[in-house]
Amino acid sequence: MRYSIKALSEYIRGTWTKKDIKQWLSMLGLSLVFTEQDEDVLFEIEAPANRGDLSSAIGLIRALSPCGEIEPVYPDITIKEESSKILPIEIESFNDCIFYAGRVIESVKVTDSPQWLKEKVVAAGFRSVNNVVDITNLVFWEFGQPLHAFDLKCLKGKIVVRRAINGEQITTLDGMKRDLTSEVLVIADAEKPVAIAGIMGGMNSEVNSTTTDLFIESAFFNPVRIRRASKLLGLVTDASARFEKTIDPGFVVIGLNRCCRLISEICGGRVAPLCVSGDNQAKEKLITVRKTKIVSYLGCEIPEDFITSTLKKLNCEVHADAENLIVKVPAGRIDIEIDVDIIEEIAKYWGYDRIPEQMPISSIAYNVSSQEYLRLDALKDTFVKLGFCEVINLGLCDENRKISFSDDVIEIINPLSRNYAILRNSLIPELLQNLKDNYNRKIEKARIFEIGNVYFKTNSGFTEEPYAGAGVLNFGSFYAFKGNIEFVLGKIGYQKLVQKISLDRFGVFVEFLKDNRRVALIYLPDESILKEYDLEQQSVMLAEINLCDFVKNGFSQITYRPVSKLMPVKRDISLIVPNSVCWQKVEELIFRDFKIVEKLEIFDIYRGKNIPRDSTAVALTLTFSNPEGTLTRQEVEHIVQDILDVLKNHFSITLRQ
Amino acid sequence: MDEKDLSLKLEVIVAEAIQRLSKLNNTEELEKWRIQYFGRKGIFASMTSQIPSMPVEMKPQAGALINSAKRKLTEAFEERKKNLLTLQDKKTEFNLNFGLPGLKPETGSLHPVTLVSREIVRIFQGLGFGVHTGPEIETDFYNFEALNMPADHPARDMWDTFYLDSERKFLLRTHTSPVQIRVMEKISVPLRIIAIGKTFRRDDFDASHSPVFHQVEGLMVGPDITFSNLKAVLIFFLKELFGTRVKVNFLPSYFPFTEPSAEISISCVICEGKGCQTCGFTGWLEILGAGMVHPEVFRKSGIQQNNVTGFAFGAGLERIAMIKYGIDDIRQFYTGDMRFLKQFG
Ligand SMILES: [Zn+2]
Repeated sequence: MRYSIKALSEYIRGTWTKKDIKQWLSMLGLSLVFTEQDEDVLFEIEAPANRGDLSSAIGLIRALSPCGEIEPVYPDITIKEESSKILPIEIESFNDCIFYAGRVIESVKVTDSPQWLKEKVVAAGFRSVNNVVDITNLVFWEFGQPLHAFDLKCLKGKIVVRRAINGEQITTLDGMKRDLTSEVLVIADAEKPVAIAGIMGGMNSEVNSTTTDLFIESAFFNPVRIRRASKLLGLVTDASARFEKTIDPGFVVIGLNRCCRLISEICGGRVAPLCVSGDNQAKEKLITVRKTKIVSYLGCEIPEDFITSTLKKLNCEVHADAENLIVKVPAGRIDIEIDVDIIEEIAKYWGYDRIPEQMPISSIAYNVSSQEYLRLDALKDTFVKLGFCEVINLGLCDENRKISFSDDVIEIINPLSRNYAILRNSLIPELLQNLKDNYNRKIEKARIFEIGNVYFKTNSGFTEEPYAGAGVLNFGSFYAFKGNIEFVLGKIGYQKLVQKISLDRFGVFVEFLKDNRRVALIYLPDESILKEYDLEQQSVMLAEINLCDFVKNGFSQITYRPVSKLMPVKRDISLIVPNSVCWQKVEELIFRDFKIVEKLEIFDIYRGKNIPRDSTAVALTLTFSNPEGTLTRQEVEHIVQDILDVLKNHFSITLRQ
Repeated sequence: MDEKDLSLKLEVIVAEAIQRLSKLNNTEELEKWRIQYFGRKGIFASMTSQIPSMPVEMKPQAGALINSAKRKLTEAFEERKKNLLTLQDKKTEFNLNFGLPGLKPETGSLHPVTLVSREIVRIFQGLGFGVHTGPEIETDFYNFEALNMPADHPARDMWDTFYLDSERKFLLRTHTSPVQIRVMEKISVPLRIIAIGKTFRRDDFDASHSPVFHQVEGLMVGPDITFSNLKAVLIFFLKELFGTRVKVNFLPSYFPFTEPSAEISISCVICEGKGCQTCGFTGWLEILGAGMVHPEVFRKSGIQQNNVTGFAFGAGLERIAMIKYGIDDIRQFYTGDMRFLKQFG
């Protein structure tokens, strides 16, 4: 709602300055935009969801009144009833419409508004339409009570507040034809809907220059009903926004009378008696606040006379006994329901800055951290150690997936756009996109990783799992990348995993399996995929690791073994290994049959010239344990020869000459 | 002086010279040494000049002794000189230009959101807070209802939500506040925790909005936790994070799950409160939302004790990182751009 000091001054007893109002509004934390114009200050208040009362001049002044020596003054609401015309009102459900009031006004003249009225409604943020509509808007601004004016000649027989019938239609004042459902509350006459209750009037009963007799509506609709209809129709108006936040029942008739008075004053016309249906008993709330609770809640003592005078200025009645304050709260303050709401009011007007700071002195409980968080966080260091840069991706992906490894993908039912319509079920597509984006920025080399959740649809609903992903662009060999991934796998407790190599139209996959379950994979995209990412001819490798086991079990235990004081005995050998051989089996066999072999490290892998096409040259260092320090050269030669024999027999691996 | 004396004297000179030679560190010192012994006014020159005044029978012997001493020292000198190569010699030897810059190491780096998370975790662990997490796919109950926002509550509009099913039961959490409920269901009071994680809102991208961002949530619950405790803890936190010079301002606000609620700002770290683009010329930067836990939230979390109170707070990590590092566009965090990421290595 828009206000200005000049516009509000008519409704105030007491004085305030420009400086006061700025300070008061900011002290109460009302988000606002100030503009100074001549001698005036214009500002806008976006009322919180529970403070509909601030969306009116009277309500705002009431809220500011404890800050200074001011109080709200109601405008003139007296009316002379000069007509006897009555329109019957029927309410189908008092749950949907708690109270409905209206008056007929006969013989009005609908014209442009006088200049002063135009200025007022424009300053309040409305468009000037005609004198009648402008008056309803002005009163809405004054009291926060939404009002609607119907052309009486368009209403057949009576007013019915009812649910719309599925399939019913209405053309609203904005010219849109709208399909209604039984979720929508309408105002109807004996034949047809004439307005969507609390949201917008219908074209079929619009007030225009041919209108002579009016019916003015002022009602209290169920906020939930208005909110649902507004969401359903995708139609938010000033009125619907106000009804959603619950109006002040005390202003329903006051607002109506104020409106009728102004109409008879400005548009002429004879006002008819009040027609009502429903219950307008304002439900004041009685709240007991323990005085000691105020202190123990805020952490400081606030003088009781300050508390009492503040609450009284807010229109509360306060009775104090030795232990308690008993506060009667006006119905319009829907935000005040329990004792802590009263305490908030006290704290706000006392000023948050005047509440002293005090570190908690309660004993420190043993607050265990979630290992899940700490482990995932620490794993980032492992990747950084290897030289990878951390990225964070949205996890919202394009519904047209260029690569997809499974179909159990979760769709967002109300996505921002098709580009962000599904939840990722793998980190790889976004990492590949990152590499592409970097390449397009002329960054030809990159190593990136991400740790984050991926999401799957399951039989019973939805699930999410932590994953680590990595990608390299033109950065080292396949073996280097695989070595990095294996290093991480080793750190997170995967010592010996079965590997499975496969190929499909997306590319080559090296899967790492534990108990037949895939825990990690390395992915080399097919050239056709790289082309889609503008990365043709580039070296691109990706990997991802499921971290479910890791977050449960943590990092591999560090088991210290004493460092041998004796000189190790090492031998380098170079082998020709047929590509069909599974290297893991080779290592297993060597370690099983030659306990003396302590370590086996590959230091070079080569394919190409002088190596058979179906084989790879592997150079490695064997380290032999030598606890007695007596291992001779000859003995080592023998062992190496034995190993070579075994490798030849089992795997057709030969010594490279 | 007889022959014996001369020979002894030379022996001492040679021994001393060799001793000093071995301690020389560079060619300049070496040259000084050479002049001292072999220069025109050097020790040997002066000894040689004394020969004519010696007894005749000593002359040939003396010459021979001096020459032999000189030979010894010349050998030692050449030997030492070989070891003491000049810088120029070194350059030639290794074929290096020592003045050229080194090659940039290929290091990894952490994302600025991770850096900020770690800083926050460090501060709160120091205050005895544990770190917790919760799921990113949440239910309506945890994201809204348990936080005192029943169905059709108008405050729900504060969080535009991505839904995963047509009944709108499952959603992507719009804040980390559901972790409050999950922790209170699990851990007994008193407790103090923070939670860090990804959150989702149906906001279009612009310089300060992203549909995905990160939050830190905090919760401290115990007997008689007060609003002034909230103030003290958050002032401590913000001063640790942004430096002791920042001023902290508490203003009333509205969140359905806290009462009273506060909006907390720090004095602008860029203009120090004078007003600039970043702070919208107000001198203040909004940084935290906080408040005393609403009794309804305790009730929904199954906490019954009467004297239990608590405070909660939340903040956006990207916003903190943007202020800390002067990043002006939130979209930067999700581009994966190495030129951005490497700056945080
Ligand atoms: Zn600034």
